[in-house]
Amino acid sequence: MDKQKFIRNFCIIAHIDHGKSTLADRLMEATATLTKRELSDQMLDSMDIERERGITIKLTPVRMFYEYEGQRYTFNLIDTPGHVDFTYEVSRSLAACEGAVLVVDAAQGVEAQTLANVYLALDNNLEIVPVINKIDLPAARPDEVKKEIEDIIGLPADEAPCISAKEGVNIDDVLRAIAQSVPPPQGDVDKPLKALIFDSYYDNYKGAVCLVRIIDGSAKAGDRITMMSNGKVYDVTEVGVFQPKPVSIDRLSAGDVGYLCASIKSIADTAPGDTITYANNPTSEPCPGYKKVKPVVYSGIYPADGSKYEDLKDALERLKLNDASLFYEPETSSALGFGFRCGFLGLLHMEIIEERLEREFDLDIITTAPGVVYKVYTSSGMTEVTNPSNLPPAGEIDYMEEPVVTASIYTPPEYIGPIMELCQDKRGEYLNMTYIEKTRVLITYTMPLNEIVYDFFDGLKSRSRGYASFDYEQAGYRKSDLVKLDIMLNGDICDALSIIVHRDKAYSRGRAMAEKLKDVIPRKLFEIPIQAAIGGKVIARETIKALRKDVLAKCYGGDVTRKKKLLEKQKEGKKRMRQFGTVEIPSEAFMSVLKLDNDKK
Amino acid sequence: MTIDTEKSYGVYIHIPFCKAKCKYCAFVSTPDFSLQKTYVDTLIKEINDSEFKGCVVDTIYIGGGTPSCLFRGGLADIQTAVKNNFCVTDNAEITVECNPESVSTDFICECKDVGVNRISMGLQSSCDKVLRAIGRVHTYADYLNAVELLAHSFDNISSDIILGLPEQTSDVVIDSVTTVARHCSHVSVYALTVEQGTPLYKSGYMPSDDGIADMYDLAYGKLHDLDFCRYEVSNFALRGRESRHNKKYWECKPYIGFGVAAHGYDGARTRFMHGDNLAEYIASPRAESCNLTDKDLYNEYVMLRLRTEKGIIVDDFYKRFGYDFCKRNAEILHSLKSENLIVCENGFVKISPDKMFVMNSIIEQLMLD
Repeated sequence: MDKQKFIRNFCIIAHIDHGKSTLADRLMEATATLTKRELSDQMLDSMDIERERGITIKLTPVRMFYEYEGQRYTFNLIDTPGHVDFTYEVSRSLAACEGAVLVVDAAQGVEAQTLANVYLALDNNLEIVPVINKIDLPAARPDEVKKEIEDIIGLPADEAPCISAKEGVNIDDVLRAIAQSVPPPQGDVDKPLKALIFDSYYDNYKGAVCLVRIIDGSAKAGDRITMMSNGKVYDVTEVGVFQPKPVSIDRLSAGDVGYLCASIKSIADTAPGDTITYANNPTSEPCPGYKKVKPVVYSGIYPADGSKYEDLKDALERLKLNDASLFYEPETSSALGFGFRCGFLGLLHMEIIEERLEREFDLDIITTAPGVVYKVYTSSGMTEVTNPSNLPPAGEIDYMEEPVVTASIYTPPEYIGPIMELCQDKRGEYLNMTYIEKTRVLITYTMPLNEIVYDFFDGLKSRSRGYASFDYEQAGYRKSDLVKLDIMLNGDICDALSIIVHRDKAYSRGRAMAEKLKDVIPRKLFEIPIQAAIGGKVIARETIKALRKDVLAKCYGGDVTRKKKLLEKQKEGKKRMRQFGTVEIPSEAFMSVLKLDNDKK
Repeated sequence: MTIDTEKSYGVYIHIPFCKAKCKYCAFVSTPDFSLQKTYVDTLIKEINDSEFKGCVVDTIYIGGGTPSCLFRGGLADIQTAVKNNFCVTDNAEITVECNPESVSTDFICECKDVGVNRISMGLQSSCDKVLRAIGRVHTYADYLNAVELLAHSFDNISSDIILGLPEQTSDVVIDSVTTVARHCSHVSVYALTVEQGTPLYKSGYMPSDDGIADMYDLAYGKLHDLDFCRYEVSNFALRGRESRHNKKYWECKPYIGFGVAAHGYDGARTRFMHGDNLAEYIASPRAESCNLTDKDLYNEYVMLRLRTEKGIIVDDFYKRFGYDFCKRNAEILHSLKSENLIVCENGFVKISPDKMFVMNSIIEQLMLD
């Protein structure tokens, strides 16, 4: 018990860019967990994409030691992903902690994600330690921000350390506050093992590595364990901690945070939220809150070059190794050939996967418009539809439901008008508006997820000049008058361009898509009609006029080779386009229809 | 490389000097005239060392750049070198390119002295506003003076017109074509290509394809009315005034290239190319050679022949390739014919006359992968 008294398990929560990773680096530096030299900036964010975007996707726990009042404390910092797509993963890592350091930017104050994360932390009964960061900024207003924290969140913030993580100012205040305020873990080391998995990753040699918080009991190599969600049994091969590199130790005991390996072949079997216990002497109850994460956003991913289907398949398999939340299954499209329907936790997750396919696997991919999971009710019951092409004919559908979310938007008051206009335009239902302070307003709306998926972020950014912040949580399903909008090229439906939209939106979307396609589809020697249609009824039409000039200029100095190469290249380029009947569709056509609103402004 | 003494060769000589660079020009030329003497010496050395020495030459084309801005005596020196090394036929077509601002009595005399019998003038447009916009150093009046001066000595003059230039309207195009037709027996009508790196490209100017197509149709109609026949997509001539030299390119006949950036072809499996760095050329005037694969030969032949009004001569194709063009491409020809993109008749396969300006996508379908 004595050992547990000096353990502090905590995470850092913050709005994006408020300095979470920088603070984590400073804490490691201050506790000599890492020397400055080892500390390549923002050690915890190990993926390139994370670094570039300043967000954390994979969780990495770090063990540090801190001397305070003559005692040696063990600090376990569990980093959390900072994005709404990973809310469930955040909640599981919060469940592994007793405290949370809340970082708030001294210039920007409380933002959408700050609040969302604070609520999650409070749900998990965490002690919250507010910290005001970036006091070195000229625009810093720490006292006002403290008051904001007290008014909006209702946390006493008078004593909150005011720091600059970037400049390394007052970092020790944070460490002291953690030692003082965060309660020690409460588990019973003599009870049977009960360990919460809050994340896992795949290692080529060790198999799936579980990141765990030991609630009760202890674990060591040789223990026979079981996963409580599925009953699978394994033998522990290794336990250890991160300092921040993995270091194997003899035993993990109640209150500890570390890793556990047991020759587990797939991370699908080490789902966050699951409980590990002894196979023969199990704990009476699993950790609360386990659920299977389900994708909420779907899109088709196809190789730009049809012959690369196998490569794409391999790449998705490899990504799936480390990302159990990625879903994919093969699908075929008349326009795009063989590819995959992929499910993601959200838009950011989707972007990350696409980017990794292109960067890490060097694949050219075509992505179809992202959609959500619709519930379709017919006389034979309810089916979930993720691909517009699978929607039953309109005549067979009784009604449909679409997922909605509660959207919280924080904005300076001058942008209220344009933002509310945007929300109305996106079929939002107004819920509430509160002045948080003179200069900031919280607006909440119930909004269909398919409208958020379709260009809401960019619209919000441009309407508020980037000042508004936004967060959402799922809010169930709602009955809705939805239709399938088809695009016909030269008279044939191009399935990869079909989308499901609200009836009121169909006309404007159809027209915008037709206009956009007119610009991106190359002209041919004949006229190409582009039609947008609902159930065979044409609602918008554009025409790509026949090509009138396609000829090379003279051969300077008798240079025939250059001309021939130009033509050969042009021919090659056309092969890379998708042949749809007699029409060639460049890959960017499929992407460009996702970005219609931007161009209009 | 094959040297065929039975064949008649063309000779192309490149003169990379211009008083000023036009804003659309991406070709090799410099306004630094101090290099002219060295350059001509290098050319002569290259001609003297030619592997094709002794061949029959029936066309010579001195292009540029602006050959008319060469120092006096330069053309004569070059011409002498060619005559000393090749069997230039009595009726050889000898063309010199010139720009209106550098046509002088001296220049004309020198041309006459060395046997030049064809002049190709760069006009580009008959509107001064357009000429200024593209950085030409001459006016329309300069052109008229020059062409009248030339007409006293030459009966075979060609002029170039470019379509799609800044400030150029359809009326300007009609006017340019009419003027040229009045003074010349040959017209080249090119569509502007905005090449990367040129001042025009950097200015962001981009003409509309439809606009250029309209201008081309107008020019074609006007020239047709004035008895100029199109014999290649960009070239129109009164009967008998087609450029014999340029036809060699389109008919895959052999030609020898001398000078920086000049290209050559042995009529069989070898193409020759000079780099486009002037200093490197002067240091080492040899051309690189490149062997053509069966696919290269085929694609070049199809691409070049289909630029001509006559098109592919099925018999000639058979002689070169040893198989029947129509049989090999039966399926694709059938579909192209049904779309009225191609005409196959009397032993010729050609692009339909009204599809000449969109020939690329048709040619591509006939090219090998």
